Amino acid sequence: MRRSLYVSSAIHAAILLWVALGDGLFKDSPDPVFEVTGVTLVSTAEFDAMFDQAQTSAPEAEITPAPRPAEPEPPAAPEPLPEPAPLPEPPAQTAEAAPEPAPQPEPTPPGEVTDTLAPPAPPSGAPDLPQTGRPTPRPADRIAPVPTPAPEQDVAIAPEATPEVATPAPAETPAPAEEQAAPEEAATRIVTEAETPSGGPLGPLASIRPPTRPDPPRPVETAAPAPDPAPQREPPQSDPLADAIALAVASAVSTPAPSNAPSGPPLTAGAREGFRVAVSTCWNVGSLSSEAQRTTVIVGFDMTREARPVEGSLRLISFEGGSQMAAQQAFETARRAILRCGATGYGLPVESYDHWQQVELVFNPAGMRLR
Amino acid sequence: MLTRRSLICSASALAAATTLPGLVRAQNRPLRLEITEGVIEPLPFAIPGFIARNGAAADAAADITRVIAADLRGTGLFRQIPDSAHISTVTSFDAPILYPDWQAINAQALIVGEVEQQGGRLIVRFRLFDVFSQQPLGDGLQFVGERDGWRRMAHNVADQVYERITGETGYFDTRVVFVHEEGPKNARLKRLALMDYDGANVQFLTDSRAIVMAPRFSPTGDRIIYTSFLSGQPRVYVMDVASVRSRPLEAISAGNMTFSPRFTADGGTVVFSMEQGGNTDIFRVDVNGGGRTQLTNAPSIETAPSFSPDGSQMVFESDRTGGQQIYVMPAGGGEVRRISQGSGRYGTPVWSPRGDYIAFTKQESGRFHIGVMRTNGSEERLLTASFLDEGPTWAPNGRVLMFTRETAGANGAPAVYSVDISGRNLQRVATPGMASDPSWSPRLP
Repeated sequence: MRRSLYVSSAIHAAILLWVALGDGLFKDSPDPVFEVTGVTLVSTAEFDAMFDQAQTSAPEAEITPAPRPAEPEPPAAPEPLPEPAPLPEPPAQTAEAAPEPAPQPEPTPPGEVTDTLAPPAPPSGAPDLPQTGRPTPRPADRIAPVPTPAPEQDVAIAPEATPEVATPAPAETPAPAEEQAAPEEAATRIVTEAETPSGGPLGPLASIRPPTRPDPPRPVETAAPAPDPAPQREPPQSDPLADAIALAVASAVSTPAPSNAPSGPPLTAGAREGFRVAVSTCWNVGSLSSEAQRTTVIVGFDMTREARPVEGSLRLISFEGGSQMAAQQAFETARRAILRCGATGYGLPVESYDHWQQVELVFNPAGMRLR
Repeated sequence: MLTRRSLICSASALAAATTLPGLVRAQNRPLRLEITEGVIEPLPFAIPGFIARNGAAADAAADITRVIAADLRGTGLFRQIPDSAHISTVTSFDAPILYPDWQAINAQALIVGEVEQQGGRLIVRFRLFDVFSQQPLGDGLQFVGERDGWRRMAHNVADQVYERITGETGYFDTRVVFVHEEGPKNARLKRLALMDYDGANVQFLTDSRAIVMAPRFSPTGDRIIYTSFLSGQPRVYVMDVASVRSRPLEAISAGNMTFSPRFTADGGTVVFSMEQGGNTDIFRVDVNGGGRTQLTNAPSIETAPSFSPDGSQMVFESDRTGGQQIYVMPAGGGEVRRISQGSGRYGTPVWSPRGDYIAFTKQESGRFHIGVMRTNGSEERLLTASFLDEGPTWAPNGRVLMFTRETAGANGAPAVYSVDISGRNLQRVATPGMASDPSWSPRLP
């Protein structure tokens, strides 16, 4: 009990110290940004010209997402729309961590293309970052890079505990993610921001965003844990042992989930019955031997998304009530039924594909026997 | 406190870690459905004309194709898709199969073959394909035989196709011995005749000097036992099929009427009915004479014995309870058990070669039926109904029955019919005239 108190008080003290000292430090960071924006070397005429060009080229860029960088106009300005800025990332945290987006903008000289690409992707209402209020930076002739030194100060000032940096950023992510993002933003964006003297008030924040967008792979994986409320709630309890175990369990459980759990709505009773009837109409037991007509076989197979049976996947899983030979005959009859009536697909809903990708049909001729 | 909590936490965490993945996996099991209703209809097959490898084989190729198709169609289990509907033409025996073309016409089985004549010998090759599975059903086979034996080769191909699709042994390469009848009803001439199961290759075994009846094949098909009135009264004779020579069954008193003979399961002995002093019982004798044994002893008429395939039991008809009924008893004698329980009269029981059914003739309300029942008398099923149906005989695979059907009236004539044990596919067997008392041979060697 006391130990936890000591630990808690120590952490709180550290946080307070960090806030006290760090506040001053963080105030410095915006300054260099404003210095950069202060460089206004582009005339309004030039800007208007570029803006017009950007408007004409914009629709093209919207049609074709990624490959469109082909658009020649370097100055193509992102339309003044502020909305597109909200980034696609559903989970904002992990998206920031991945710096991979960089390669995409590279082929296109200006950064505008990346902006235009962003809007089509995000249709899912993503949680907005604080940046939303700001207009997007305007592309313009840029001036030589002075701004880079500014970020260095931030880093240097925080000598103490690096993990605590994470805590001030309140509900956000664990520390490591922010640490990685910061240096990269400084490196790529600050350079470009410094070169854009266009609109004076345009913030450098815009340069921070781009790197976070293209993280499609990771968001998908981390999106899974989101539906599980349990693991997320545990951290606030701040029980070290419990947290560690919970994290381990959450990771153990969450990783297999996306691969095993069938997605999409389950098959309705009507769809199942329709499928069953469709196979029944092709299941011709008339040519079966008497013994085969007493044999129940279970046939397994895979289905394509078009609900067609994969021919090579049909297999006899088990049989009951007859000899091996009778089972083979019964299996071949069942196989013919499945393939014949499935040639054009069984018309199952594709959104439930995970539920019928693998099928096992029990062919029980009990009701068909001679009496 | 902390430790207890941590313990609880860890325990619950471990439990969750072990159970949740299992639950998740359980959700991802294959979709399982049970199908209990299907359809019963002939399976469509295509048989493009067999290819003649040389000009001399052209006729044989056409004939063999025709016989194979007829064999399969005749079972009622297959439906031939006419050649005019074929999309693909098979020009080479080894050419790849264009499955989509055959699927398009809904052919589920495809038979491809070729015939070659070398001197006086024919070589018949065939392959069977499952069209929708797009794979061969079994290996290709080749039959070699004399030119005159082309029908048997065709029947053999049909047997193979039948077996591979149904799982049941074929019965096309078999023969039937029957009584050929000529003349008016009140002066009928009767001769023993032999034919292929489909009525082809009729061969007479006896002349019409004496009435003959109830011929039966031996289990090996090389002998026939029958009743003849050659001596003026019914007597059992044994005929060697190859030499067509007959001899009376020995160890039987010459003065007694003997009839309704049948070989036992091993073919070494014969059972028959013999009348002695107005009473008829069942006896067994060695086929070569001697060793007579009386199997039944009752003041009633016991006749039409037939053995189970394993030879352990015998079924026969008796009127010991008043009307004709069917009884089963151990082959060596013992307790007799009545198995026919329905109304009407039951007679001429014959045990199935598979041992699962007993076929019989039933007379009820002035009509005759051919039916089958389980060996304990259950699941009785009447397959036919007419003015006079009688004397069933089993195909060697136990799936088809032949019997005699006679029409009513002064001009009524007997004919041989066949029917599937399901009661479907009743067909008249082509014979060169009136025919009765068929007996189906085992498959030819």
